[in-house]
Amino acid sequence: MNNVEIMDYLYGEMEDEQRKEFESRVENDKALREELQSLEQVRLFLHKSEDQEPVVKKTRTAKLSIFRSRWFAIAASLLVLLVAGKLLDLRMMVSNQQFVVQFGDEIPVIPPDDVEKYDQILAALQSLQTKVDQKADLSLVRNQLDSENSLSEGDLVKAFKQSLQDQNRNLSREVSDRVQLEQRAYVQDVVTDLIQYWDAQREEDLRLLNNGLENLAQAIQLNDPAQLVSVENL
Amino acid sequence: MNGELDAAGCTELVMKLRQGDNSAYQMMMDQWEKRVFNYALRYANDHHFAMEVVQQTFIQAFEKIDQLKDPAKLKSWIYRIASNNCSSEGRKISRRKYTEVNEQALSKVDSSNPARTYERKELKVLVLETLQEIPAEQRQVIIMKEYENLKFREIADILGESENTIKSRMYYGLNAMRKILNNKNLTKEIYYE
Repeated sequence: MNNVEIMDYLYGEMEDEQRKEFESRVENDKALREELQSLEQVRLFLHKSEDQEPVVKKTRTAKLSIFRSRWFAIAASLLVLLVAGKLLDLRMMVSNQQFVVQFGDEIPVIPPDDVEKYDQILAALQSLQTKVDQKADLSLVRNQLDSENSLSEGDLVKAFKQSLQDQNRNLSREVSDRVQLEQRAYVQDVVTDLIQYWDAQREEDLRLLNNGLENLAQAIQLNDPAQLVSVENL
Repeated sequence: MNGELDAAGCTELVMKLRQGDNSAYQMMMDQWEKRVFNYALRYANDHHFAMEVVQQTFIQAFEKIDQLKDPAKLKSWIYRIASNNCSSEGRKISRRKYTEVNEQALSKVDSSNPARTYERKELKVLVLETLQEIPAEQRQVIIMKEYENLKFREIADILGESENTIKSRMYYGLNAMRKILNNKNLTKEIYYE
């Protein structure tokens, strides 16, 4: 007996003639009879399950599904960003037609005209810093003092303090010299400009004077009183 | 459930769906929503899973209605979509479900005293749990045959298999369930309660 026939019989999908033949075999086959009976019992058991209505249950699973949803993930991410932004003092703005994101206080924007000046100042400061670094090399001083092998810790501190004072003095002198040089150059420029200005003025006066004398000579030659008056006005 | 649509009714419903008739969509839901829900519920024993399958099945049916070649077979077509959704969604939760079922089977069923087991949980819950213990291919066929009252020919059409294959799966599925019930000492007296 094959399982296909058993299923056809069990579910009433057998032709009448075939069914009658099958039933006669069942009567004479105890094992087949028992098998059919056990399968019927399973079917009875299966029908203890009733249909349910498709409604959204407020179960633990349904609640958990909220946490699995994409929208929950997006909302959680936004919340984290908001908290992080608040803690880090995040600022977003549009400045000079640019979108600016920054943390903390606003960074002052240097006008393009002043950039060159700032660069010059920065270069000067870096140069000074390099010199300070070179001169303030503590290990070098310490090695020098150690090499003398006759100084205590107090002497070392004093020596280091003295070296710093010397460096400061030298730096001050350097700055002062540089300022004096710059002032001198500035004064020289001003004096040069002033001399050039005076020269130009003198040339202009001389030119006017020459013109006046020429007009006077012509007036005398032509005996023109109006021209004489205008020359007098000069 | 409303009265089941015959082939002519299915054809008319498909025509309306293709014309974009929203009331036709509601009619389709009224006709098969509960069936698809219970099919999926018995497949996975998970209410949330069943609702997910219902939602996906009817959205896909609405979107792909133009691909249905024979409108008279609308019902089989919807079951096919539901079955595919159950299989694909089932793979996602299969590991979790089988673990849960096995743990439940070990912890809740007292083999020395089945009467107490029966007292502890309702029989219908036990049915759903036992269904989860047989292979998915056999479970699909049993649900379609026992609860959806489909002919073997219809099930073969839905699952794309031969009728004999479906009958074999049914046979082995029922026997697998019988063995599980015997192992749990759930005797026939319980079935007749």
